Parts: sequence; structure tokens; C-alpha cells
Amino acid sequence: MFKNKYLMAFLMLILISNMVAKDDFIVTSAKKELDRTMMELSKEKIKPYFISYTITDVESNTISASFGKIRSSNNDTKRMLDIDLRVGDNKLDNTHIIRGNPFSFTFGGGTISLPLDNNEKAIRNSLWFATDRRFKAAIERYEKVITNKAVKVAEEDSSADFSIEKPVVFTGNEIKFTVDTKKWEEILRKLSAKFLDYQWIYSANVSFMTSIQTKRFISTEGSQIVEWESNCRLYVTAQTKSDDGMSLPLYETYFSFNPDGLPNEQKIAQDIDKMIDLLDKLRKAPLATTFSGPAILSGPASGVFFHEIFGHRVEGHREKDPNSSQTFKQSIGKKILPEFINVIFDPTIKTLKGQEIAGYYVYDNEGIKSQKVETVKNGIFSNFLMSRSPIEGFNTSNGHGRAQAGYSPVSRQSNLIVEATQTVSEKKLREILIEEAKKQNKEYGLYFDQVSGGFTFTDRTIPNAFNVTPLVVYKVYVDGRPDELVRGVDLIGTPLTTFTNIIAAADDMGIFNGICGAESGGVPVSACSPSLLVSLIEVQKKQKSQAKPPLLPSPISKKAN
Amino acid sequence: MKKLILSFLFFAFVFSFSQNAKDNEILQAMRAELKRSMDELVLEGLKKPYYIEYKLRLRDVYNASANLGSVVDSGYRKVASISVGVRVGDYKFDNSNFFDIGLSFFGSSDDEESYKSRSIPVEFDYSTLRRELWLATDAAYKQSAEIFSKKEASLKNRMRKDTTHDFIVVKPTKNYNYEIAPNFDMKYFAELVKSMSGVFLDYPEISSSSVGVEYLPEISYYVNSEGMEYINSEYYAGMEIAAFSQANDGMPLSNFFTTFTVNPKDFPSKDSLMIATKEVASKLKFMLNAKDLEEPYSGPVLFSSQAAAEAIAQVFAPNLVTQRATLTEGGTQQNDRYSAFQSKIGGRVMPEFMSLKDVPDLKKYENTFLLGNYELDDDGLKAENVNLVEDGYLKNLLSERIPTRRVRNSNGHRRGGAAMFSNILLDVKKEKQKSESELKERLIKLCKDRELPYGIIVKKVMNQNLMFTTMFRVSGSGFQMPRGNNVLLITEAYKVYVDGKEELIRGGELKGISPQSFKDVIEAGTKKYAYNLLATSVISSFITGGDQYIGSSIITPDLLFEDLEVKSPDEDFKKPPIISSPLMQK
Repeated sequence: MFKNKYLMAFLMLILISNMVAKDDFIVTSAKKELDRTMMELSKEKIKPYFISYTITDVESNTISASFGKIRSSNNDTKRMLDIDLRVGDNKLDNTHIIRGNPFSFTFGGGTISLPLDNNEKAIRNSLWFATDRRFKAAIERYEKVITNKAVKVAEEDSSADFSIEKPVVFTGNEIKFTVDTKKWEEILRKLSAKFLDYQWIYSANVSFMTSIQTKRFISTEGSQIVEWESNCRLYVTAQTKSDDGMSLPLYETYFSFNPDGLPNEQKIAQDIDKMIDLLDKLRKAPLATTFSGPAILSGPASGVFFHEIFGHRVEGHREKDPNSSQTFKQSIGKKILPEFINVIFDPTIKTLKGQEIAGYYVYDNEGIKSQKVETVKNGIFSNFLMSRSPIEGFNTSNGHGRAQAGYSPVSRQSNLIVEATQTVSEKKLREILIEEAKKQNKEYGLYFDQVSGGFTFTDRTIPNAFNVTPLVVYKVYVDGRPDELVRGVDLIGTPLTTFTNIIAAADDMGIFNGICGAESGGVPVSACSPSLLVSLIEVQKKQKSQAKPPLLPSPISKKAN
Repeated sequence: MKKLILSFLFFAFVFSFSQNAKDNEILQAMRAELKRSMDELVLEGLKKPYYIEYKLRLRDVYNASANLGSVVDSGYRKVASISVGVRVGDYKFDNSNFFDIGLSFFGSSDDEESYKSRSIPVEFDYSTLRRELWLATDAAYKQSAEIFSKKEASLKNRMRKDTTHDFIVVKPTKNYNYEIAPNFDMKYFAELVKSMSGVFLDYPEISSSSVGVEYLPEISYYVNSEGMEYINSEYYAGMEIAAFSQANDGMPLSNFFTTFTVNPKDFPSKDSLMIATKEVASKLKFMLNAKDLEEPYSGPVLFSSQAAAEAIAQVFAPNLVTQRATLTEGGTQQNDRYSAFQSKIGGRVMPEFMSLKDVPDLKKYENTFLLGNYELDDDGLKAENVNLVEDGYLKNLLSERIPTRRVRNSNGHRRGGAAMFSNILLDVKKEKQKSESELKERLIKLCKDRELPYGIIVKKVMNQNLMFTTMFRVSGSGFQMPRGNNVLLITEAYKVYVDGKEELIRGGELKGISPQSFKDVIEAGTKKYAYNLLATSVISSFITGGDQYIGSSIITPDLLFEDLEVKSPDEDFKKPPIISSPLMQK
């Protein structure tokens, strides 16, 4: 009986090695170690049933400038290793949630650096040393999982811990570009120098980042993927303070997969001028008060809003955690949004309305091909974002298991796209806002133009609220007075009630490219949406610094108050 | 040939000329913003600053590390930062030496500008500097003024016993020691650590290893409102080899080698570094099969070379700097850490045949360039040589401009943010100096007298900097850190049987070694060993905003202690690797 089992394993190994697609030295070396490890460790009493190695080369350039001077300019090449090692079987393994332990962090083990050149011995030795540690940690945790399962009540969700998927052999197209550091440094100097003239701008930064990642994924299931991902960003941030001490930052981000895809200097310079103008208005703007009533969220603002209040709640693995609020667990087939709204997550597209979007990838960090996922169709909830951690009714991954190098993948968002099947012009949307405000006997409605991001709680221990941080908010008066810029409020609420309050959408499309941070690190995402009208939102006063603005005027800037 | 020299000279001239211009620009920006702040900075109803200091640090960081013949990481970056100090009140009583839980521990919860080690653009001019200093000074002043008021308030209802001033008045001087730091051949050193790390390919029983090099040239510019000014250039280079493995019973074992020098050209030759690497590897391999101490040992212990220096650096020397007791809202708080000698001046702390001084002016001892050598301290004061222990009695402590009850002057020892030792030199009276064999004989005799089967010689003690940085990483956090106070972690030690035979023991800890233990040194050697290290700052860098590790040197003979305890670590070990290293594969 045992003999047969060994034979099986061997057969499998042969099968796997026949599937090698293209020669990659690192993959070949890592594979030798992976095969040896799997074979040797299967002699242990508790043995691994799955091991994968992800080896990521990151070549990055970061340049940052403020007020006309380079703050820092660095390039870096790193090779990092991530290991997923599972003992037990796919139904119950060491990654299974341990209930009633408030401190059970999933610790990815930190980043392990590998040698940069093609040195098989050095690479294999590092893999071996790290795998041994991971294996021991896995056994230890597996024992705890079994005990935990025995002492606690039966689980609500009895799905397996790891989905069964077909192995993939794939080699992508290599991405190569060179960054003209000198050129970019000069551009950044010029752009950041634009802030020099304004003494009330206390900090300002223009930074430029590029990275090319070579991702290699191999697993004992036979997957073998080599692919490339790139990322270029330009950030502009500037901050002023109002007389009452409130910090007022503004941001502008540009994203492309290639440095040449970023907007030209002139365009960014124009945006900076607008930003400076807005900052000046902001610091003199009156404070907003707490308010509940109708509001329009601009496209990017709606995108962020959906990312926070909806996106994080459809990340499948959260439905398993008994501590998680599981907002949509019972919502399959039910209406959660107005019927003119669809919500799609689509990592397979690179552009939307001619703009590049950051949540694009071919394979996720568990080696699963990315898929378009329609989570809401005509207001009806139908699907979760899935990694290889199944939940009740969803047994397989849909290619959304994502992580930053150094973290363990969980289900995460990609390109979130809110579609409206029934739209009005932006002008009409504004008219509806005013009508709605009148109906509610309000003096004004709010218009959220820019937001910086937000956060949300999905745990049961804390009220399930969300908070979106607006940067630019206008009061839209019902009596026809011009719009008034206000400052100092956060948009708050609870998800389900807010959804039902969406009453109209415009025919535009706003795109927010960003990095989303959660338990599996920072991953590039986008959030795209038309402007939305919400009949009832709530804002609360923002936490504010008590520090006064600088006592003395700037020693250098020309333009005073 | 002649032509070459000429053009070279010309180049040097141009360079120094433009450097002078740059230096002037920097100092002028600092002076101008300092003057403006002293004259105009005031919060309504609160006091003006009476003292402001600015420090600009420009650092270059070169580093490379390698593993089994491959480079893992190599790079160069520039770092520029400013630190601003603002004092409110007067020299007798100001905002300092007060610990405010709210502000000092967590920092202000407001999004204020930072002013300690505030990073600034690496590329800067007069305007950049003034703008950065403006914002940093503003934040520093607001905090100092607030703390001053809190301190005043907390003393309103108390009778103050200790009226030691808060800050010492010194005579301002101006010193401009601009020096162009030597070049660092990154390519050569990356190749060197690569070759060194390749040695471990022949030692498959060693699980993990790393060889690294770094070079850190730094220039600092300083001005204060008293008129003190300086430009100071400092640099050092270091190399480290770290190796980790586990014995068959799981005991984690490690070995290491560090070498530091001032100018990177003075590193040991490639040949001797290769030999050093082989020694680290082969000794660790040997240790893996050595026996450990079956039972705890209590008896005489001889510290030789590096071990004696580490014992002084980790246990004795940190107590030799002044530490001001801080006021809090609840009363005076004396820090317990390293404060054994704060009120010990005049008392005996060593045997009468031993003396100890701190000699920052010593550049070189025999062939070793010393890391603790410096001319000006952080305050711009001339570093003074200080007789700390004379014939066994404590005479003085190393101090900065913050007085304590016993030491009320600065001897120029503010380094990396607070008072710190530099070059510690231990002298032994001629007639008491013993040769290596005499020391060993004496050890054996002591053992015989106590009917002990063997004594112990410790040759290498784990260095703290290496332990918390590289070793932690190399061991995949499998390195077992010592627990509790007064513990020295042994890297290499031997049993010496009464017949003179030496036997390597693996692992082990020296427990209960304290500054007081040095009173019981009974013999010392003739030959002195000069050891450079990155010593942990005595006053935490979290408080000072300065450096966590500071280049220092210990020059000491071997030391024989009458009675110490050595034992094997008593915790359970993690299992050794389950499958053998791929290096064992054919």
C-alpha cells in the first residue's frame, strides 16, 4: 500500500518535470530543491501536501524632490522569496483559522532575500533553510488547529482550506524599460520648484517610482509560471495649514505601466498650478459642520467609497472568519444595490476609457489566472472575490489571491468598476441633488470632489463603519448661491444603509489608481465609478491637529499671505 | 608623470575652493536662521528660547553583503538630516531633564514637523536649508516651551532638593575640520565579500552565513546661539562574517568575525580575510560536534583578547558615563540601566593594580586604527582624555554639557547624541602583568585549590550589534537571545583541565557578571588587545534622537576573574533541520 503511494509521488514528479516550458535558471534550481524537499518531507509523520515558492525580482527606481531639490534618488534590485507550505490535507490544513484567539496574526515569515546572480547552490541553500523553518511552523500550527477544532463548537462554514485547481505552466512576455534617471530628476526638480513661491505651503513633494517585477511561481502541484509586471507612478503631494491648525493636504497621482505612459511635464505643471490654487482656497475655506443629507460623490470619490464599503466586504476569505462581520454572506441572489448598478472586478483589462488602470495582472500570487468577476448584476449580489481559500458555495479561486512580496496571499481587489445602466448628465445629477436637498428641507447638499482614501472595519468587535477622507468638498446651495468650498469633515456611515440610498448616476467615469493595504500587504488596485448621487450621507468633524501654523514667516518664499 | 601630478594638484585646488564656498553657504544659512529664531521666535505668554543649536549631518552609506559566493545586496545612498535643539528658560532651569510621558514617549499626537534627525533633500542650497531649519525650529520651540511650562508647574508644589543646573555654560570655539573622505571601491569590496562568502560552500554543515561590508563617511556642520561652530568629518569602515547552524541536539550555534577600521584601505589583506572566514567556518563546524557544559560551572574564568574587550564594553564601560536623573510629573526618576557608578566616585571599582582611562585622542594602537578616536564632540567641545579609574578607585565619569550631582563639567564626551565612551584603555601595574602561560597556570592553580576538575577560558563573546542585526537575520530568527540582565553570551570558550589540556565547549552563557565583578579581577595579562566595535549607546537613541550604535575601541589585556558562573542555555532548543542541506548533495 505504502509502496504504491511512493510510486504515485514519483510518477507525479516525472509528469511535472515534463511540463517545463521555458528554461529559467532560477526556476530550474528552485524546482530541484522543491522536488527534493517534497520527497524528503513526505517521509515525516505529518507531511506537507503542498509547497509553492514565489521568487520575485524587483528592480525599482525611486526619485523624490521637494521645492526644486532632489530629496533622494535610489535604485534597488532585490530578489525575494515567499513560501506557502501546507501540511494536513486540503480539507483541513495549518492555515485553518484558530478561533477565539484574538492575537492569531497570519505571519508571512517576513521577506527572505535571495542571491542576485544565478548561483544554484546559494539559492537552493536559502530555499532549504527557509523551508525547514516554514515546515516546523506549519506543523506547530497544524497541531493547534486540530486542538482548536476539537474544543470549539462546530464551524458555521465547513468549507475546505485550500481549493483544488489545475496546475498552470506559463511564460509571459518580458517587460523591459530603462529609466532615464537624469531626465526624471530634472523634471522633478522643475515641477517641485513650483511650490517654492508659496510660503504657506509647508511641505510639498513630487516623487516618481518605477518597478519591474519578475515573478516566478512554482508549486508541487506542477504549476510553473514566469511573468513580468511593471508599475510607474508619479505622485504630487502638497500640504498647507489653516489658521486653526488643520492640516490640509492635496494629492495628485499618475499611473502607467511604462514611464513613457505618464503625462508630460506640462500637463503635470498645469495640475500643480490648479493644486496650489485649490490649497490657497482651502486654507481660507470655512469649516463644515456635521451634516446629514444628500450628496454627490465624484467618480474617483465613488470609486474609493465602493472600494472601502463594498470591495473589502466581498473579499471571500473574510466570510470564513467568525470574527468578521460577513456582511454579504446571506446576500447571494438578493438585492443590495439599486438595480441600475453593476459592480465588476476585472484584473484582465489594462485600460478603461483610454486610461491605464493599476489592478491589472495575468496570474495572481497563488498561480491562478486572473478572471473578471461580476459581483453585483442589476443590484443583485452574486459573487465573491476568491483566493484558493474556499467558502461555502464557492469552491474555487477566481484569481484574486493577491499579496505583496513577503506576505501570504488572501483574496483582494483588482480593478473595481462600478457600472450604471441608467445614467444622467452631470448637470442633471446636480439638479437632482438640489431637488433632493429641498425635499429634505436642507439649505444645501454636498459635493465630494476629491478623496484621499479611507478605511473600514470588517470585524464584529468594532461597529462596522466606514470612513472616507475627503480632501475637497463643496456645499451646493439650493437657493442658487455659488458653490462653497468647505473643509474639515469625514464621510462616515454603515455600508448596507448607504447602498440603498444611491439614487442616480452620471454618465462620466472617474478612475482612482492606488495601492490598497491590508493583511497581505500593499497591492496595486484601481477603483472606477461614475459620479453617484446618494440621498442620505453623514459627515462628521475631522480630527484636527492642535499645533499652530509656524510662528515666523518663511525665510525665503516670495508670495506671502 | 610630472604632468599627472600637476593636473591632480590643480584639481584638488579647485575642489577645495568650491568646497569652501559650499561650507560657507551652509554655515551662513544656519547662522541666519538661528539669529532670526533667537530674535523673533516667541509664543504669546511663553518664554523665548535662550539657546538654539543646529546640526546638519551628511552621510554616505555604502554596503554590500554576500551569501555562498553571490551578492545578495549592494548599494550606495546619501542621507542628509538636520537636528534642532531649542532650550527655553535659562542655564539653571530649563525645559530639559524632564520626562513628559505625553510628549517625550510617543511624541506629539499632532502632525507637527519633525526636528530630531529630520531628513532633508540630499541636494540642497541656502534656501532649502533655511526653509527646513525654519520649520524644524518652529516645532522644536513649540515643544520646548510647552515642556518648560509643564516642568515649572510640576515643581510649584514641591520642595526641590536637587538644584543642579540644567545646562553647563561653556566657552564657544570655532573649528572647521573639513576633510574629503577616502574613496570606497564598491566593486572591489563587493567582489571581496563575494569571494569570502564562497568559503562557506565547503561547509555544508553550516546552515546559513553572510559576509558584509559597509563604509560610512559623514560630515557634520554645527552652529549654536552661543557662537560655537564646527565642521567635522568622520568615517569608518567595517566588515563582518556571521555564520549560524544547529548541533544535532538542536543547540543553536554561531560564530562571527568583525573588523573595523577608519580608512577602508587599512582593512586586512584579502588573504588574511579569507583565512579569517575559513576560521569562522571551521571553528563553527568543530563546535557542532563539541560537548557542552554538563553542569553549571562556578569558578575562575579567564577572558582572553576579544572576550576581555567585549566584557568591558558590555558590562563595565557603559557605567562610566554620566546619567542625569530626570524629573517627571511624579518626582525624580533615576534610570537603573548602567548607572552603577553614578554615585561611586571615590570608591573602589577595580583591583588596586588596575587603572582605566578614556583616551579619545589616541588614533592608533599598535597596528589598529581606533574607532573611538575623535577631536570634537557633538557639542563642539575638544575631546578630553579622562582618568576614570586610578589604582582601582573611580575618579571621574565621562560627561557632556548636562551636569549631574557629582560631575558638573563637560569633558567633551557627547557622542551620537549623549555622553558615551570612546577609546577605553586599561592599564595594569607592571609588576602585576602576567604572560599568557602564567595566566593559564594561575587559573589551573585556582582550580586545584578549589578542587575543580577544570577552569574556563573565554575567547570570544557575542557582539551585541552583530547579534541584533546580522545574526538575527542570518539565523532566520533562530538565534536564541540571552535572557535577563548581566548575561554575556559566549561564542567560543574552552575548558582548561588541571593538566593543561584545553577542550572547546559549545555555547554557554556567563551569568551574573556585573560591573562589581571587576573588583574581583585577580590577574591581568601583559599583552594588550585593541578591539574596535559598534557599541550600543548608553543613553537610548529613542530618547536622544541620536545614534543607536557608536564606533568605540577597547584596549585591554587578558583578565582573570576569581569567580564567575558559566552555564549552558537551559531552554529547549528547536529541532535541527529535518532534511540535510542541498550543499551535501553531490
